Amino acid sequence: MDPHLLQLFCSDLMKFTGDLKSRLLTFNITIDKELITPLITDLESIKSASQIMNFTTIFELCKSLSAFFEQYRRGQLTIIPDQITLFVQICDEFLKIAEAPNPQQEITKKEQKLAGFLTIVNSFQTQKEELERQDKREDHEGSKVNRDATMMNLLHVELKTQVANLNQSLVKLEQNPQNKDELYSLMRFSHSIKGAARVVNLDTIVKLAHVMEDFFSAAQKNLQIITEESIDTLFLGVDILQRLASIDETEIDSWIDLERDKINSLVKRIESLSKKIKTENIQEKQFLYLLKKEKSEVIKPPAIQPERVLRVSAQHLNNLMGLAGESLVESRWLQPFLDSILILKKYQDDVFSNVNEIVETMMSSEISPKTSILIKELKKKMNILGEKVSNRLVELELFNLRFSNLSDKIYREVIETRMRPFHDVVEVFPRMVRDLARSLNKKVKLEIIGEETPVDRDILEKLEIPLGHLLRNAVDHGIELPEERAAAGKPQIGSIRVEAKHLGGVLAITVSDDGAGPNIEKVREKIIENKLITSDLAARLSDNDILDFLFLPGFSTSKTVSEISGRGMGLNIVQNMVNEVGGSVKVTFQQGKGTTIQFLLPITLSILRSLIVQIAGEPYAFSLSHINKALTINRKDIQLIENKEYFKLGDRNVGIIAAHHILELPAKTQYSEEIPIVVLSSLANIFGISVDSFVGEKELVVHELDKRLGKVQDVSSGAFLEDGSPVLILNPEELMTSIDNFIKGNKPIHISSSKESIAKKLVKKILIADDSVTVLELEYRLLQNRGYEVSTAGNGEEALRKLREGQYDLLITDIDMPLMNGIELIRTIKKDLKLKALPVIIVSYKDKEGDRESGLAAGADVYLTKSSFEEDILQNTAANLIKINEESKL
Amino acid sequence: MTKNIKKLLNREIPDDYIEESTDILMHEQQQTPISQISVLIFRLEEEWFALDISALNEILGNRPIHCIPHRSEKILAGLVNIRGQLKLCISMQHLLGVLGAKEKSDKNFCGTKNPGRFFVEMAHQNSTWVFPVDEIYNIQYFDINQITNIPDTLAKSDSNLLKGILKVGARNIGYLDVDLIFKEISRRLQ
Repeated sequence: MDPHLLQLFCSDLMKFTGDLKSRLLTFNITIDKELITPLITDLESIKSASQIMNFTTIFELCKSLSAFFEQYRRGQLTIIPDQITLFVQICDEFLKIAEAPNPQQEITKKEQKLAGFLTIVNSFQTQKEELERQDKREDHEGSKVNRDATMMNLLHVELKTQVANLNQSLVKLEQNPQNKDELYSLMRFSHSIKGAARVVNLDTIVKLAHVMEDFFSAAQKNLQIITEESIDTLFLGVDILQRLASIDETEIDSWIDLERDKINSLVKRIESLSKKIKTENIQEKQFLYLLKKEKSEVIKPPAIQPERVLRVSAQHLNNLMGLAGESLVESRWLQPFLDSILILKKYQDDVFSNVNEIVETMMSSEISPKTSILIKELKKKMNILGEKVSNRLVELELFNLRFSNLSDKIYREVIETRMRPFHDVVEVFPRMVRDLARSLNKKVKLEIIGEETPVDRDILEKLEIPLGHLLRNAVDHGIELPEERAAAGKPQIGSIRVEAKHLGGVLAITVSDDGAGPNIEKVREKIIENKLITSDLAARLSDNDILDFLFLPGFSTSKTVSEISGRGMGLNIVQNMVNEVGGSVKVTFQQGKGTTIQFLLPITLSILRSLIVQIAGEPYAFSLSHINKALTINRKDIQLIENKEYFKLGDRNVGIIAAHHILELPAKTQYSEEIPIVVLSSLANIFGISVDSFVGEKELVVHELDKRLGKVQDVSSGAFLEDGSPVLILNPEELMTSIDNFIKGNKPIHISSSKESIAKKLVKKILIADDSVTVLELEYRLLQNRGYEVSTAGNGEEALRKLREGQYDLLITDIDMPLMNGIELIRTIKKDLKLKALPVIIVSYKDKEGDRESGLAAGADVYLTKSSFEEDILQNTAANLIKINEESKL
Repeated sequence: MTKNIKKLLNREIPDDYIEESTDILMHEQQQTPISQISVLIFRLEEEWFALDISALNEILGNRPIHCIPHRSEKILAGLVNIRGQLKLCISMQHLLGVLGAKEKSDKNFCGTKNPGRFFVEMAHQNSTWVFPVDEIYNIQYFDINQITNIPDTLAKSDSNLLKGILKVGARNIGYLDVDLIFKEISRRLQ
């Protein structure tokens, strides 16, 4: 045996066993589950070292011990102090071996003793295994249908987390196949999945996770060469796990039955990737071990402990936020109370000085000795009283300061809990960009900066889809093929950067690529072609102004709508998201050098800077970022045209509508000369809304309205003023529509506009919901060509919201969508009194009879498949359904 | 003397006594099932009602109600601040039809009117509603036998939300059927 290798082994053994022993000794006081993981790591290290050295007994012993602790960690075992003592004894034996002048001899000598330990340790487990087997048998009998729901739920959670981790680490591994840390993490992630799957007896998945783990573990020991092909195969495995995570628990068994062959063949493929190790000879292994050994001594990356994350129910957080808010309101009560006591104190001082005056005048005349004593007594008491009250007041004031500070801190902290790192939304992108680039034969490196930047949960959710579009755009249209890049003198690998940071109170997110950038002239041509503006004006517009046209819905420079991006809808979705949260977006580019898109978004949606006004005697709030202007005008300055009031703002005539009219609230009777007006404007319209009075500017903490209330027109959410009274936050975009409807619906002023409004009513409105932008774009064009007014939604939830907010004549929806799928959407609609008459068409990729049935059973009128998709079918069906529905209403 | 006392205390228990005691114990146990209810008694306008304590979450002092734009449902009084959360406030006055006369049925709860009022939060199967009441009387125990049935004319009408009538002195108190009330509220708000 190689003496050098043996020496290394001994130093390893010494180090890890020492570690192990000290950890075990702390167990005597308390057994902390968090200590188990490093303990197992130690054992695994000794195990693999002894395997290489062919010390079977030590190997087996470590294996048993590590299995034992693994079970303990999963809560399947308990440990008694006697066992710990035994383990410490084993450690001592190991240490003796390591310190012996001739370790090999020592091992042979102790062979018997070690084998004895092995039997004992194994016996701890066999008991356990029997139990487990029994459990399994019992489980199996009743399991098919009756699987423990909480366990399944845990599996889902575990799968979701680990799949995200796997995806991320695999992408990193591909870029740097030598990265041992990634391999180690990957091994751990697959191991966790294995554990979770085993708990619920999903053997197929256990096997899959197991071979993946094997692969990573082999690769980690340098026994495996990582190629692009192997990464691809592993991604396939991750995809299966990902799909599993999205499947309803009741359908898991049937899904696995369906996919079993596929999974098993994949398992074989992954296995064959790692087959090589087994044929490799020990010599080489030892050499590699040596190599690894030397390496690992040189670089030892510091272990970074990730921050612990807890799952807390949203309800608890809301309760906490409510209570923290109330404690803040309560703390504010103290100040006025303190002020009132100060006034009393002043009053007391007055009384005292009066008394003093009286005493003075009495003293100047003759007084009896008794009175004199009484007066002395009185003065003393007054002094004590005065002093004590002052002291108490100071104490109260200090308390008030502390208490209000504390409440403030609690409140801020609670609001902080709404923040998540930017990482949460971008973790899916490296995989997506990688797959996309490979399918387009491009080479792209995605760089993400500022992953720790805290972002409000609500904003984070809204970011995923728009960012996805921008990245797809960047890979598809931005980055050129490697040859083109080389020809242009750029590095072959294109780079895309996503950066998030806080910038003076706003969240700035930048997506930039070093690709060719949009062809400005092409955009200019397209604008003129689409008759958006005259060619004259187009020529005068600056390049950056031209780019703004890219954000219009349905505007696309690419002639073909590819699977990846048609551009038409993508940028519009980005724009909509930005508008929704009250942010802004800017595109800059350098021809041939790249494009940069920057969004500026509010850091949180839970705190809103707003203008508080009184309407019908109650407080309402406007978000400051949505107000054009707030001003007071004199009644004299209001002019009348055809019975409509308006005033002049600069050179524009602005119509005035009373807020209580729009909100259908009782009018406030007070009359005043000065009228407070809030001016709202959109691209097309500008309105002045008259209110009772301005209250002031405040930062409000936004509370959602009770779901049971349903959608309240013109109101987005609620909040509380400092005194705890409720205030409603108005939604400016909805208000604009309401005003528009109000004006149109109420009094048609002259004939031309009334004709217009009738014509408007005849235009049928269709909502299409699909998570594929391509399909949206296609359907959008088809239907718009037929003269329908078409709106789009990227998922079921968005669709439902839009349906509730507006009047639609038809819904066309996909089945597979994020957040809320098509079936759920239809079911919800059919339960809703107002929406249940709405005709629904399903357009889906799924073309099995079962899918059709479940779609129709949910309440859809027609089921079309995308595969048999022909232009006229959709339009004709749509026209028919709308017509039938219209007739049935009459 | 002590001997005699000892003798007296340690004497054999007569059989019939054992039987009698067992009988009493058995009997008492049979009688224990809930024979009492405790209720919160409160006033809405001129009428008194009783809400089962198990459905009572909290009683709170007066606070402003913010009315809801575009909503014409009479039983929806508005939004109130309950422990720092925006809660939906129901008009039990409208739900139970205690307003009677036409001019009163337009009663609007918005703002801080009716300074004397209280708010009651009731809970049933994970759902809660808040409503203003004009006066709180007290919490009182009743024997279940004291609940008298409601007149058939009322019981058969669709709008009956009472389980029965309780009497305090000469006063009739409507004992609310919480389950029906929660169902009725969701039905009316749909």
